[in-house]
Amino acid sequence: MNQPEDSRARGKPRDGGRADGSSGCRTRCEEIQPLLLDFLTRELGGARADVIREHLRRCSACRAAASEMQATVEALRRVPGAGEGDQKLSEKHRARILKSITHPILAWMDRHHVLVSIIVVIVAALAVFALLRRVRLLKEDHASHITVTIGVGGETDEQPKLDPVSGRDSETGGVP
Amino acid sequence: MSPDAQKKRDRKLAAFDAIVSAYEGPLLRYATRLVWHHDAAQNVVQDAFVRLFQKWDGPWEPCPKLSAWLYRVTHNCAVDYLRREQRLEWFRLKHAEDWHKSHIDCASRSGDISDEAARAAEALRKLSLREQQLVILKVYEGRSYEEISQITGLSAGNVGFILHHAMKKLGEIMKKGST
Repeated sequence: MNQPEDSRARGKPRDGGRADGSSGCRTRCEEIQPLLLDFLTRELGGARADVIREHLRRCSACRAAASEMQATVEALRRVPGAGEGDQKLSEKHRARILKSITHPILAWMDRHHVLVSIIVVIVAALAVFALLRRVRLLKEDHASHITVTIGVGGETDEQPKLDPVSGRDSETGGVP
Repeated sequence: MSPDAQKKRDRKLAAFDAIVSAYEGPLLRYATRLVWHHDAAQNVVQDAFVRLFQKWDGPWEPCPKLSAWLYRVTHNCAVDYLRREQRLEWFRLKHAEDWHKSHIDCASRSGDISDEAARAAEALRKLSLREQQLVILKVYEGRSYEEISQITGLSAGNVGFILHHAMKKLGEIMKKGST
């Protein structure tokens, strides 16, 4: 499969390419350029790498694209910081891992301390509200004991409603 | 707990400790490049190791399968971490700014870093998280397409396609930055 590709690559400039080999094999370049990173990072097998190497030798456009990509990769590799040094987890984080696997519930509460605090505040507020309500109910119960009047001889607590103008019973019109 | 269960648990803890020691460095480097903040990366890697202890059902020894699993979980934890912060873009850019200031500018002043590398760092921040992930795994971790495919769940062809476009995008951003 690689052999025909290789021979096609070699034949292209003769067929229609320019003397400098910069174009004339546009289709070939479109096939080659997506593979440049693979080629530069040695992802390609020997035969395919040879095809690209051969193409790059003749095609200045692809050579420029390859050197640009190589420059980008090298610039990325020169970025300092996270890439260097022997990084280790801090003692604090190691302790947290140990806590998470030995006491998962405590660790969860520790991690979600904001949520836990909100829940505790809500529960406390509800408890206080319930307590106050209970105390108020007790007081109301206590007050109702004082105001209770006990009818004597079959009399009820109900008082007849009197007309505010005439002073008569508004329901019966003053008729007993 | 019965003595047998206790012994089994102790053995698992010892193996877990060995795995933490073997992978903490690479995972911290990887997470730091993803979240652009050292402390955040420590939290991310901590979460990844806790998930490892809770969910890993393979062999308790360093192996390619475990490595791929850890990288995948670390990436997921990093994404979760960034989402948890809610202001995803703001947070990422803010920490990237902090990181940029503390590392790039200092290094630049002391002559440790070229303008080109500073532009590369700046350009890397402008890629999507997926593109950043692939570039980090390829360029900094030196992973093969096959390994990246195992870590990300993408096909090897798709990895190559996204990487090619990410590198082209990086080149263009760096060019724009230099003009």
